[in-house]
Amino acid sequence: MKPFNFAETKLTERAFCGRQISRNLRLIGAFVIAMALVTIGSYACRRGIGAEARRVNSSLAVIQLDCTQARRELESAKATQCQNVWQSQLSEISGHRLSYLNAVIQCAPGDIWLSRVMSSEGDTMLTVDGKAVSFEALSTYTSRLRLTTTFEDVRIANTAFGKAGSTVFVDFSLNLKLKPVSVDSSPASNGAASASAQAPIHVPDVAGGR
Amino acid sequence: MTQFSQNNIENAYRSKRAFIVIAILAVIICAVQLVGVIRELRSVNEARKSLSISSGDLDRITRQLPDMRRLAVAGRASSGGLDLFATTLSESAKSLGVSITALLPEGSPSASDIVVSDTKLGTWNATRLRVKGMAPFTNAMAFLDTFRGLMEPVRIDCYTVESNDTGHGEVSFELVLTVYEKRNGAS
Repeated sequence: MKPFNFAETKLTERAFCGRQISRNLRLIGAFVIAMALVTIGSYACRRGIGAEARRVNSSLAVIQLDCTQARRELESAKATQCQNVWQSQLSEISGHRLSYLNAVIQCAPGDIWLSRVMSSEGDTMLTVDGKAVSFEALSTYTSRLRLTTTFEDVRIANTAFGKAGSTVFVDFSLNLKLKPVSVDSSPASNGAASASAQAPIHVPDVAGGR
Repeated sequence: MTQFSQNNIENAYRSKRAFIVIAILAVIICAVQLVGVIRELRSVNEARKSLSISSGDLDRITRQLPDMRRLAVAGRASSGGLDLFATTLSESAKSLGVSITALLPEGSPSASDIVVSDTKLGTWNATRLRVKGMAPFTNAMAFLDTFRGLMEPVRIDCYTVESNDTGHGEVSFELVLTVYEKRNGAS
C-alpha cells in the first residue's frame, strides 16, 4: 500500500478554501462598492431630475395660469361678439318688418293716399287703409304690390265710395299676407327656455381646459 | 486537524452564501434605483409635453385674442334696459323732430336665456314697450329707420302708422317693441 500524506491534502484544501473565501469577500466588496456607486449616482440623477421637474412644473403652472386667463378673456370676447351678432339680428328683424312699410309706401302711385298701415304680430299680415282717386288707381296699386317679392298675397278687404267736398274717392282696405322670413323672428320665450338665434356665426374654436 | 478542515470548508460556504445574498440585494437595490430614476424621467417628460401643449394653446389663444377683442370692441354690445333705451329713444326723437307722446311698458318682464351659436349670453329680461308718437311723415320714417341700426337689444314686434287729418303731412305712429335687459348677476 502506497503511503498517503494527509497533511499535504489538508494544506491544499486549506489553501483552496482560503482562496475561495478571499475571492468571495472581494466580490462582496465589489458589489457593496457598486451598490454605493449606483445609490450615489441615482441620488445625483434624482436631484438633477427633481430640479428639472420643479423648473418645468413651475413654468407649466405659469403657462397654465396665463392660458386660463387668456381663455377666459377669449370667452368673454366671444360672448361680446355673439351679443353683437344677436343685437344685429334683432335690428335685422326690426329692419325687415319696417321694409314692409317701405314697400307699401313705395308702391303707392300718386293718386293713392294711405291713411293707415298696421302690421300684425308675428310677421303674418299687414293691413293698409287708404283712399284712391278711382278703382283703376287702386287696381294699379294692388298690381304693384303683387309684383313685389315682399307679399305672398294681396287682397282687397273692402272698398267704399266716399266724398270730400266735390271730390269722389274710393275708401279701401287691403290685407297683405307677408312672405315667411328666414330670420328667426320668434319672440323670446319665458322661463328657462332658450331663444336661440339661427344665423350662423364664425367663432374660432377655443381649446378645452386641461 | 479534521475539525480545522471542516471549519475551512464551512467558512468557504458561508462566504459564498453571503456573496449570493449581497449580490441579490445589490441587484434589487439597483433595480429599485433604476425604476425610480426612470419614473422620474418619465414624469419630467410628461410635464415637458404638457408644457409644450400648453405653450401651443397659449400661442393660439394669444393669436386669436386681438382679432376677437377688435371684433368685440367694434360691436355694439349693450346690457340694454328700459331706462337706457328710453334715453336713446328720446335723444333720437329730439334730433329728428319727432314727438314721443307715450312710452308704456306692458306687463311684467319675462326672463329668457339667450343662446347664440352655442354661446350662452345669460338671462335677459324681455319687456314689452308701447311707443306712441307723431311727426311729419319724412321725420317719422327717418325715426323708424333708426331701429335698423340700434345700439340696444330691441326688436320691433308690430307697428301702426296713421296719417293725421291735420293737412300738414303729419303722421302718428305706435310701435310695440321688445326691449331686452341683462339680468343683474347673470353670467
